[in-house]
Amino acid sequence: MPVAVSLDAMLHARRMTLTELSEAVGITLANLSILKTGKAKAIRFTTLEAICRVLDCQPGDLLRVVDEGERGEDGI
Amino acid sequence: MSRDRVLWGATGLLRLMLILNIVCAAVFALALLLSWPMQDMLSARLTHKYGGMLDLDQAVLAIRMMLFVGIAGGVALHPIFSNLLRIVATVEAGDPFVDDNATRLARIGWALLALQCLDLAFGGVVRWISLLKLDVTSWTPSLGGWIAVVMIFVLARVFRIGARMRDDLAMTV
Repeated sequence: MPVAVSLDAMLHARRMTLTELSEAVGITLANLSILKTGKAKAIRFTTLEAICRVLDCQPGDLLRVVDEGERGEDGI
Repeated sequence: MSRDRVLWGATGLLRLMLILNIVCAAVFALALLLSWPMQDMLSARLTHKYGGMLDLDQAVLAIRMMLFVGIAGGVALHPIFSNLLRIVATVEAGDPFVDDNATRLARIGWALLALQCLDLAFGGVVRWISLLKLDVTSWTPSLGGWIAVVMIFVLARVFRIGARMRDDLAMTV
């Protein structure tokens, strides 16, 4: 499913590291890495809400639908 | 981490039953094979016990049929023990909800179905032997066995769907 996760860009915009986000939302660094690199098959609403609250953004700022061949700056 | 006592006991019991089953099947096979070279001795023993009115050919054939059903029962039982041992091993490894275990349960279901069919054949042989006026054990159809067959097939399906659901949840953040 071509859904790109723009977590890396959002972290950069908020000047936050993945480790800091992991500690703030209470999700393991391994799981956040899976999400960041686009290897995740699904994301729970609770996870999405926690990330959005910490990064002060909306789900649409993190996720976007792209074409099959397209590659974003983060994982797809 | 200490090994789960229930699993430890189940593994030991299953291994013991697996070996006993092989031994029993081998003994039945040996007895069946020996029933030809030792047919005269067998006939003499039967005549001594039941008298001259006994149809010896029919009686010996019935005994051979009983032994054959015993061997077939051993063959049908083997996959039950071996597959159960593999399932217990996956439980010990901490990952039992896998598609392979659904397949193993289905195999156990087919083996149980074969055993139930053999039980019916056994009942037929028992009836035949009783008609020959030979001493034989009583037999009643096993309703519980048929329910177990259905239950195992349903459980196999539950396992398969559960394994797929778990796969769906994998890589969910």
